[in-house]
Order: sequence, then C-alpha cells, then structure tokens
Amino acid sequence: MDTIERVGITVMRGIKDFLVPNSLDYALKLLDINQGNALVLGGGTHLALVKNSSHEIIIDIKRAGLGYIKEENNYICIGSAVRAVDIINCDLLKDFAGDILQNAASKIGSPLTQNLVTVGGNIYSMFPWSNLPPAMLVLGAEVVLTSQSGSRKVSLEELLKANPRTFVKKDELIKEVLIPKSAKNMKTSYKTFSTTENDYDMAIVAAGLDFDGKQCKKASIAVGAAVSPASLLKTSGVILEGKEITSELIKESSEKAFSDVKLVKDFRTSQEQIEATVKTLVKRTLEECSK
Amino acid sequence: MKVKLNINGVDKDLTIEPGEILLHTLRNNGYYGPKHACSTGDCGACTVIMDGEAVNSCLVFTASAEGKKITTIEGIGTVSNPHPLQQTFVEEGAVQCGYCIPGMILSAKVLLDKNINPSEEEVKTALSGNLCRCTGYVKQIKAVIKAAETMRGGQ
Amino acid sequence: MLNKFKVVNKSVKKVDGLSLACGKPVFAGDMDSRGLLCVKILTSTKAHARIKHIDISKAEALPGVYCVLCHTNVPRVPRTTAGQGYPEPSPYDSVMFDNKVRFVGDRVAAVAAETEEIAEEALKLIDVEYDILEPVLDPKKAMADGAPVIHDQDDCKVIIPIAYEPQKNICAYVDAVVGDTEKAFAGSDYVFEGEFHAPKAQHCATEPHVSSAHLDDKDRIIIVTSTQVPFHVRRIVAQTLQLPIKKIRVIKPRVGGAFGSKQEMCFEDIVAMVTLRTGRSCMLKYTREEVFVSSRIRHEQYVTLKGGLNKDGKITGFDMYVLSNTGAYGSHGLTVMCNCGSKVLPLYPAENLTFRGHAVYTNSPVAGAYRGYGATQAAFAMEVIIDQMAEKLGVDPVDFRLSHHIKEGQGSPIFQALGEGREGVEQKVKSCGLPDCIKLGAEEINWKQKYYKSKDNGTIKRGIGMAALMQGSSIPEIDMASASIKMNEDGSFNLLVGATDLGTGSDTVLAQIAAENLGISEEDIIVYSSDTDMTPFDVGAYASSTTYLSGMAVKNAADIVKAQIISVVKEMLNETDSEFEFDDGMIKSLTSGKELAMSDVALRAMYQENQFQIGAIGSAISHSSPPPFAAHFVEVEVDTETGKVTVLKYVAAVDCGTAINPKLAEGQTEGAVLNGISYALTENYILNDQGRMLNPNFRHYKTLRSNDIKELKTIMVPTYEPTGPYGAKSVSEISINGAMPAISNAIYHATGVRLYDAPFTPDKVLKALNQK
Repeated sequence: MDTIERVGITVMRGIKDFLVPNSLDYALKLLDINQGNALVLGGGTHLALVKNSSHEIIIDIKRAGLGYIKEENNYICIGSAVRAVDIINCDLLKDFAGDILQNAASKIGSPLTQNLVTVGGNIYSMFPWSNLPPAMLVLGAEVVLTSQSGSRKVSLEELLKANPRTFVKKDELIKEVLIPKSAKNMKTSYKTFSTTENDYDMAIVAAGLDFDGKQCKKASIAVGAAVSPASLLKTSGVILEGKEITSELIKESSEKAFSDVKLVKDFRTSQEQIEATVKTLVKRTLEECSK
Repeated sequence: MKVKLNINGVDKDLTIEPGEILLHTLRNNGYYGPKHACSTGDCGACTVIMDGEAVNSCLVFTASAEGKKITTIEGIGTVSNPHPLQQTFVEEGAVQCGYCIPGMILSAKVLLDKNINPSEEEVKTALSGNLCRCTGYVKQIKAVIKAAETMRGGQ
Repeated sequence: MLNKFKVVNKSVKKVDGLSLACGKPVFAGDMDSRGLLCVKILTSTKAHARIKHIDISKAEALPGVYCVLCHTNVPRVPRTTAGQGYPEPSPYDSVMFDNKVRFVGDRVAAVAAETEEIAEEALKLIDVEYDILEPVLDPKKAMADGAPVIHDQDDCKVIIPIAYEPQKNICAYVDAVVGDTEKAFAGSDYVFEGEFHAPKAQHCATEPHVSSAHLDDKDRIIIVTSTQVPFHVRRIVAQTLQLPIKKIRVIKPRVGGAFGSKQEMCFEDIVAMVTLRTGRSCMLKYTREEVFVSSRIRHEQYVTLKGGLNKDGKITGFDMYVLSNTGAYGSHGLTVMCNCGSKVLPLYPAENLTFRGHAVYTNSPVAGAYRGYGATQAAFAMEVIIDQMAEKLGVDPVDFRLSHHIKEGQGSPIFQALGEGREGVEQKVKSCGLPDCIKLGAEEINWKQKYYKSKDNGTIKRGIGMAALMQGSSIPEIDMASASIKMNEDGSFNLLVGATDLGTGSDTVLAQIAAENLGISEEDIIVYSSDTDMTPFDVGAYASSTTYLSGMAVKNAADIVKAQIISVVKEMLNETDSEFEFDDGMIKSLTSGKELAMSDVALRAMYQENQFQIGAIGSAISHSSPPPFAAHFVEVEVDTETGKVTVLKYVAAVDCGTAINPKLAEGQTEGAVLNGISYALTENYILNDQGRMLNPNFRHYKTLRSNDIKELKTIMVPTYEPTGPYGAKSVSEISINGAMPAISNAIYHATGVRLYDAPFTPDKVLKALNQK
C-alpha cells in the first residue's frame, strides 16, 4: 500500500541476529557463512535509516581490528572502520598532503556524525555528498577488498566507477584504503559548496598538485557531490601538467571541468548554478594550490 | 537478544530486538532525556555520550553499544545538584522549549571535558550538530563559555 | 518608571528551566508508550482524488489491531481545524475522514494497534481505490476559469459573513479602501510597484506533533497533547465527535516549540475517537516527514505592492494586493491575509490606502498559522518598496524611515478597516520606540560607514540593508484571557492560567507579573497552566497575546486578591481607612507603619477568623493591539560566482514596551531572527508537479545551526505601553519579519540586483546577477 516514505526508525525489522566479531578473520568467516544475507555495519549512519531489511544478519565490524592508521611499505594504510574523527585527530596524517584528508573529514556532517561515519562506509555507500572520496582520489588511493579466500587491490577510481555495491562481492568487505606515501608533498586544496555550514555538500572539489620548482609535474583534480560517482577531472588536470601555473591556465582548466564528467540533477538547485559553482571551486582550489 | 549496557554508570541487562536503535532502547527504559526529533541523525536531539564522545543515538544500533559507557543527560546532574552547564544554561536564558537542550548540553560537556578553555568558534563548532529553532544559539554559546569559566575555577 | 520594578524587567530564571536542562520527562511523548495503543495515519499519495472505494477489513482482522477509522465509519461533521475563537473566521471545510483527498499527505484512514510494527503492517492492508482528479498547485491557476474545484462538497461553509466562493477555489476575499489610491497615484510624481513572492515554509519545531488520549474513571476523555490552543482543541474535538464539551479534558504539558504549527486541532480528534471506540489509551506521534507534509506550513503569498511618492517626500498612498495560497484546507486563510494589511500598511501613514486579498485553495499541503502570520510576507514587499522610494529621492534609507514612520499619538484608518474576520478596532499608537530602534541599530552596524563605502571590485561583494517593522499585541475585542490565583498559608500562591507556554517562557513571565503586583518573589508563585479542567480560559499562544493579554488577566486577578488581603489586614490591624503597600512579602500600613507578613494573613484567613479562601479569577480582553516596533539591519556577503549569500552581521533593535523578562525577550528575538534569515536564504519547501514534497526532512530542508551565524546582536529599546501590564507589549513574532526585506535590500546594495522571489537561494541569485 502506498504511504509516504518514513525514514527515521526505531527498529530495523527483519533482522534476526546482530554479530560483533572481534577479529578480521572472524568477521570474514561470518560474512562467508552468511553471504547474501548479511549487512556489514560500519558507522551505521546509512544503515540506521533502513526500515525493513531483506537481510537477516548484521555484522558490526567496528571491533574487528580495522580501526588502524599505520605506515606499511610505501603506503599509509587506513582501516575501513576508521572514523572521520580518527582521521582528524591522527598524528601520522598531520601535514600529509596539506591536511587534505583532515579537511575532508571535517566537512562530514556534524561533530556528532564525525564520531560515527567510517572510511569504509563513506566509500561504499556512494552518497553523492560523501566527503572523503574526492580527497582520496586526488591522493591516488587504492582500496583493498578481502574475503576468506584472499585479498585484491583496486584503485579507488575504478571501484567508484564500477559501483562498490556490485563490485564488492557478497563474501568480501572493504579492509583498508592505501594512500601512497609519495603524495606527501602534494600541494592540496579542498573546497565544498553548500547552503549552510553543515549541509550535505552540493559540490566538492579536491585538488592536488606536485611541483618541480615552479613547474607543475602532476595535477589531480577530483569532483564530488555534483557528479556521481566522485571522479577525477583528467582533462582539467592534463592542461596544467608540465607547465608553470598561470591564472589563464587555471581558468582554462576550470572551464574544461565537464569534459570528463556529467552533472547529476540536484533538486536543491539549478544545473546552471551548480555547473558555475564547480568551475569556480576548481578555479579556487587551483589558485590555493599554486600560492 | 540480550545485551548488557552501562548507562550512567549502572550496568543494565536488557532484552532487545537485534535491529533495535539505541534511542528507542533508552527511551523504552525510562531515559527520556534523549529525544526523537528527526530520527535521521540530522538534528542532535537524541545526543548521548558514548565512551566520551557525543553521538546521535538514533544512528547507533543498541547491540553496538554493548561494552561502552553511555551517558544521558540524566547522568550528568539533577535538579538539586545540577552540572555547571545545566546551571549556566538556565541562568543565561539559553533554555526555551528545552527539547534540544539535553543533546546540546551533552555536546557542550564533551567539548569542555577535552578543552576547558574553548574559543567562541570552537563552541559553535561543537554545538553545530544540535538544531535549535527557539533560541538562535546566542545564549547557548554564552552559557557554554560561562560554564567553562566556572569549571576552570572562575578564571 | 522602570526603576521601581522589583520582579518585572528582571531576567529571573525560567520556572521550568532546570527541569528541562536535566532532561525531566515533561513532554507529551515522555511516557512509557508500551502500554498504549500506537496510532498511525494512512495518508494520500495523490494530490487530488476521490476515494472510490476503501476496504479496511483486512487491516481490522490483523491480530493486535484494535480499531481502524475511515470515512465509512466516523460521523461526518464539517469543522475547521484552525485554533481560533468561536465563531471561527476559517471555513468549515474539513471533516475527520473524507471520501476525497486534496493534497499529498491528506488523511485517508487511521489504525490503532498494540505495537508500532502491527500498526504499520495494518496500514499496508488497507485497500484504497482512487478516482484521480486533476490537481492544481498554483494559486493563480486555481483562481482561473475551468480550474478543478477542490472543495466541491455541499456541506462546506463559513459561519460568519465572509466572502467564500469554494466553487472558484476562493477560500476568502477581503478588501478595505481608504481614500482613492487610483487618483492619488495618477497625481503622484513617482509610482513604485513590485510583485513579491514569499514562499512556503515549515516551522521545524524540534518536537514533532504528539497527542495521547485515555479514559478516566468516569469515562471522560483525557487528551494530553502538544498544542498551542488547549481550549480550542477541546471545543473542536467535542464538535467533531459530537460529544458535550464537559466530557473532554485537554492538558498541555511542556511543548517542544510550535511557532504556529500547533495552533490547530491537529489530530486530537483521532486519538479521542480511538480511545472512545476501544476504551484503551493510545498515542499518535508524527514522524518528521509527517510534520513537514501533513501538519501545517506558512502561507505562500504573492504580494503586489504599489506606492505613490511626491518629490517633496510625501507618500501619497499604498495599494496592496495579496494572493495567498492557503493549501488544501482553509484554516487561517482569511486572517493571515488580513494581517498582511493590518500589520504593515499602518507603519507609514498615507491618506489613500487600498487593500485587497484572495486566499485561494490549491492541492498543496495545508497552510496555517506561522509566526508573523502574514506580516512576514507583506513586510518583505513594504520594506523593499520603501527602500526604492528612498533611493529615488536620494535619501538615506535610515533617514527616510525616520521621517515617514508612524509616530506616537498617530493612528491609521487601516486599524479600523482590517480586523481578523470581523471589523477592526480604531487605535492610536501610545508607545513607539522606533526612532531609537533605528538610530541605535544603525549605529551598531556602522551604517554610515558601510552604506557609503565604495563598491567591492572582486567577486565577493558586501552590502548592507535594513527593515523597519511593526506587529500587534493580541486581537482586540475578540480574544479573552483569564487567570486564577489562590493563596496558601505560607504566603505562596498558586497561579492557574489557561495561557500556553510553548517554551516561550509565559509561565515565568506571568509569575513575574503576579509577583510584582503582590510584592513577593516570583519563587513564591506556583504556576500551573493549560489544563481545561483546572485552569481558566485562555485563547492560547498566538497573535502575540500572552504577555500583553494574559498578563493583564494575571494583573487583574492579583488586584482582586490584593483587595481581599487588604480586607483581612484591616481587620487584623483594626485600621479600616488606611492605605497599604505590598513589598517583600509584607503588607505595610502607610498610616501606622505596622506590617504583617503574607503568611500571617493567609493563616488567619484559612484557619482562624472569618475564614475564606483568598483567591480570585481575573479576566482581560484588549481594546487595542499596541504594536511593538523593530528595526533590523544586516550586512551580507554575496559570492557572485556561486550565488551564495552569507550573513555577516545582523542587528535587531526591538521596542516591546517593558520587557518583563529581558533575557527571555532577547531570546525570542534571537530565535525569530534566525528563523527569518533561513526563511530568506535557505529554507526551500520543494513540491514536485504532482504535489509531493521532495525534501520532508532536515537533511535537505535547511535551517541554521550555531556555526551559521557570524554575529547577531539584539538591542532592547524600552518604552512604556500604558495599556499593557507594567508597560509591556508583545515581542514573540515581530523579529521574524525583518530578514527577508533587509537581506533583499542588502543584496541590492552589494550587487545592484533586486530580488523579489524568496528564498534567495544560490541559483536564483546567480541567475539574477547574470541577467543584469
């Protein structure tokens, strides 16, 4: 029967078991046994709004040993249960790539939801307003998926394009995000657009430039919220590479923002406004990176 | 299913549904401080403190909260022995309808427990997850700063 | 005059403040609801349709379901749900459950079940067959020939003589004419005109609507509900259920905000009917989505304002036409529209005034009362036109308003011409602090420096703007308030008031007024309010009347009690002709200097000699509606590349006569200002072309948070209103009216672009900038 959609819930119906594994191995085992019938719970900011579940099991991975941020080989490894607040407070990430991850994490929701939202959820849920993916794309992030039968690595870009909901297999979960340490000295900028400070962002632009003296060696620009999935702007980046950054070049780069991506419709605003805003944010992030 | 929750320092054995939300559990067990206002994690009226961090209890599954220390507004002070924040909120005129106040005070408490001398900007950020439609926030910000002063011993 | 107050004009602590800060269970939903039946409403997904067939049998048969209500099994009693005095000026166009739905979110049926889960399951089992009708959402289209008729039932009517034409979707028409504006404009040097669009909005009170009902031991229906109008609720529920009023008791506990959304009988009829039919206690709570769609919203209005001006600065006349979208039902349709004229046109006296308005039905969510009540929408138009007038003459907007606003001692023909459904009341302004409001506010925002600075060159442009405002205090000759006071033997008093504290602090303010009059501390007043069995009548919290009108009633009751106390004191002191003074809990003879404690008097009267209960009921009606005044100033920043407008500083200078509790009065102002700012900039109530609201949640319907305000300053400008208790006027509504016009004026100052269509969202701002 038709009813107005009700979103806030008191109980998620249909759930028969709530499991809290205390190790990754155990979590994967449970996922394997219950694959197709289990919801993986990170922060819960998405799942806690699902009224009726067709799945019967919830597997809460917050205590499965995935809350680490550590250096390993050439990467900084961020476990999928790491929360926004953990990124903001992390010493290891201090001054890494101009604090872009901290800036992105600070834009998530409110201080209350920052204590809940996880890296894994922010990637998997594919909400257009998810704040971390654009920053991570700029840093060249890779994602490790793991199951009982083994692990595989995929670039964040590829994972988002393929849609995590279909790409991640039913017995797999997101284990960690790998940030290449080589991104450490990137000059970065992260800007968002929304009508109020804590609003779900309507446009997100992250930019990261590698300089060799005055020349820009590499330029990564990513857009989120106004496009789905969050994507790198290849054309806009290529325009800057191998050159000295001038304001004309920045303008050209921002004008080319929609060469590789298409705007999604947002009922909160007009196409013209959001297109102009994305271009403006590209311009402003590049200006900040070039200071 | 059965869970053991520590609420305001007291261990409680509760029977809940597996998919139950913490806000619902708390209110069903007599803790009426945290409120339903949007139930989508957008307004903070349901704020509780969990292991020293302020969270929207409408977004937390009760079973996730097992083993954590949960504090509701009822746990930080009483009418005869109020917490400095409860006192300054009343003194400054920061309480109008009162519906958002338990959540607002808990967010403020978490701030002051970490930073006893916050700037006005830091107070604004700490309270930004708590929606108030009555007050315009001016007196609430003032009340937090005044409480911090009291808790510092008046400096 | 102000200096000699002991309790009034002091920021005493709110009587309920600490229990609220400690999270005490004082709201209507704060009870163990597991023993109560859970009531859920099935609402329409169609904007306009007839219910061809409805089958509730499967739902009724579900185990755990106690009762299913729909149009086939409840009496059909046309009424209005508007919380207004009887006879209501709103049409009787709604019934408990109808065989037609008129907006997405309209009632179809209700289920009462053992648990929430069963109730939701039962809703799914109700089969409804609709005959879909063409919806009309635009009020201009709804008035046009051939538009679908929304109220085509033969039992809809108005019960006082107002112009009601439901066949044309006209819920109300009103006009008022003074002089001849057409002639005046023809002879004016300049004529200004603009059509201003003030949008729909939702109140977003933090507490969603909630009501419970149970039968007491005598089978009376006891309703506990989050409401602004307990007495109106009682009357309308009795009317709807066809029960005598004496069978119903309505109690209002603490309310978590209302702002007009609870000035209705919202669904108390449903919980009462469920309790009546099942014998069980029950509770209905709206979800946030239901509050957005199925409760009430602000009237969307198109205000066309024309103004005439001569070179010498004389305003020759105003012509205001209001097209008000009242939504699917007409509650508050006429009266909100009348307020557009009555609370805005008098501000700048002119000899020729025309006011006309149509309140029109559409298949949109129902508009009702919302803080400001028409004055908000119309002030937008007036304050922009005034700015245009000032600009034309090359006069500073501050100076133009100083020279043209209504002064103390002046009246306006509009006061008499436009009432609320009935004829208005002639009055003269007896207190006006607007000159100081304007001067102090301008100084605080640094007007002289910022208004005349050179324009910004870059893409971020700053601008400054202002608005002058007036409102009213109570509805004269129509509304009544009363209070009862009784004395206890320790010298404390019980104060029972019908007046409704929504968090506004009226319990506290009324205690202060009583305490001031009796010469005691407000801590010796025990307040109990808003219980139709226990407290005497009050219309409820609306029309900015609680401090002014209910306050007078309290003062009157205290006067009678004082006379009784004096009679006892005279006996006790054997001084039949003395005068007495009440101060500090003592009654002192001005003749002999002897004094007695309040408790001495009480003990004697209660137990010892010529015993009687010292106590009285006092009532009040008002004979005028003295306007509070305000001047608002705002500095904004416009990002011309994204269209975003940010408020940098907002100054609200307010004259509310004597502020009975200054901190509470400031708090009311600050809250209203913030609501006004989000109404102007960020609150976007979006309906799709099928009449469905797309953003019924706090995620995408944006109100402001603590980190959205940079600087907000309130200046209280004291005056003394001779007709008000201790000089008080109202304060609760006026400050929501300033932001929209002030921000529009500031955006013009910053960019040269005038915005007539609110909210000023980034897309609209950017479009206007690009068109320039």
